[in-house]
Amino acid sequence: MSADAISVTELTVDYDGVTAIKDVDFAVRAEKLTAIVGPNGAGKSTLIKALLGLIPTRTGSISCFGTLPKQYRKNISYVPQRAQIDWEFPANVFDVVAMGLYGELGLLRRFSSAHKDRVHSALMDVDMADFAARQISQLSGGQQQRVFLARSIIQDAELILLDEPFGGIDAKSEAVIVDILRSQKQNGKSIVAVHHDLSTVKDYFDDIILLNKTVTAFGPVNDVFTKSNIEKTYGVSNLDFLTGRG
Amino acid sequence: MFDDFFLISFVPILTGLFSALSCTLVGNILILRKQAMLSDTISHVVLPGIVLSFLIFGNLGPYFMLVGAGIAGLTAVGTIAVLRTYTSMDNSAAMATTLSVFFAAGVLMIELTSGGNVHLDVEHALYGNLESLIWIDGESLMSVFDPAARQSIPVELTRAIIGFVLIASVMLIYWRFLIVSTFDRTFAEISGVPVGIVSAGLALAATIAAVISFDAVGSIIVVAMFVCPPAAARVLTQSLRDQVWLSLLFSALSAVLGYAVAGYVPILLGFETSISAAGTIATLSGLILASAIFYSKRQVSYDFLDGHQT
Repeated sequence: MSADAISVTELTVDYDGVTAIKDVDFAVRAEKLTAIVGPNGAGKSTLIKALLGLIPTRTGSISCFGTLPKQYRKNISYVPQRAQIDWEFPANVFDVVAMGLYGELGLLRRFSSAHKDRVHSALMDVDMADFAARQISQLSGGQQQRVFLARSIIQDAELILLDEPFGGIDAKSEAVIVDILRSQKQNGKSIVAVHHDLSTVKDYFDDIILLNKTVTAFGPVNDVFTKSNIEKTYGVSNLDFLTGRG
Repeated sequence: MFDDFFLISFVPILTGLFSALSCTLVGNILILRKQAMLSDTISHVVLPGIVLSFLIFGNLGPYFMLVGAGIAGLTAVGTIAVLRTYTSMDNSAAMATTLSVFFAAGVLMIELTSGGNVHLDVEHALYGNLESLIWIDGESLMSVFDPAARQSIPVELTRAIIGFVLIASVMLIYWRFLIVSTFDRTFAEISGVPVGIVSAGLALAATIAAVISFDAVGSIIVVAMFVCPPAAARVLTQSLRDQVWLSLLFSALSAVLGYAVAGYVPILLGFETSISAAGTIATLSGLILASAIFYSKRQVSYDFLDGHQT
């Protein structure tokens, strides 16, 4: 597929009465891993919400594979930040992954043994099959994230949007999750993730969108992830601090 | 003493039971949404709704009450949403202010309309009217199967049963949507779940539970039954299914045992009159919650002694 997964033109979005992103233009290539990178308060989460059609836009347009996000929603899967979830909720791993099927099942269609098999196969994909009966409150951060990935995989959406999938998890889980995302890409999925750690951008992602209220640059990591573009996005004074880890 | 059980106690026990079960069922979802305060708000807010519908229609029939209370309930939910969106108030402040102002307005309206033949008063609103639900033709269990005797069953019981069946069946049908939108609202919305309708429906279910219970058992029980049984079940189990069943068990136990204790224990002890059934039922639900918390903590500390827990 050569068409762009997402194309955004002159997008301006207000959030809580403040202009969160302004005159944003970019395109996301299909079947690639794309990072949205920028400083705190750059409007990354707002952009994700707008891409999902969850908040109204002031001006501009968004299209996902040529249609409006709301019409395309059935083909979008969303993985929220772990911190937004109440992990004390009384549910086990199986229950959470099964929720990925609720949209498809609706209210009354029976949850059959075929659906059960799909839940188990999604758990196999993220190497969590042994944890199906485990309470979600008993999982590590990385395991929680893998459960959410399984819930996303089971939806079999063409486009997967993730909000900080590597937030607050250990290095080993991070590697496992990157592998999962890569194999999803091999299966023809287009993946967009809000990402925080500049030092891993080159290793993990094909493409990048640099955002600070407006898009400073976007495209393949090798072309776009340059010192001058990073300086433009983060401001020069912060640069040493931000890239210090790399 | 038990000769007149069907005359005096049968209807109040069942009315209390079904009212309690309705509130508890909705309360299970509310506590998971961290909206327990919503039950408190709605059960107070229905008062001005009921009074207002009486003033307008001059009638306390169940449908007029339900319409008035339903409008008041949804208005309150709307007011809370407006306060949260357009002011810096957080959820609990918005709910607390809405609750107290609406309830105060209801009390004021009752006083302004008193003197007529209104059988509403503030005490009634708080404590309900459980003991007054006498079944004139209730002589024995056989009366239940006698159509003529059934005629005189107080309408409060019929309402409580219909309300419970309605709430239980709607919740059962919408169960998947309720759960997924409670656990992860954004994900649910993108999956095609109508999250706004689910939230409004839940508020409406809470209103219905509050209204059917309000007239008979009063707001003290309503508030306690929304929160105490689900909270007690919540500390005892990590399974949602078990939580719901346990909470219904606790709720039924409070309602039936509470009525029995209030009605019979003081008399057995030699006092002249019984004590408030509503107060006893609510207190009992609180004791069950306290025992549940104690029991769950005790387990943890045993684990701690064994060295399993740090």
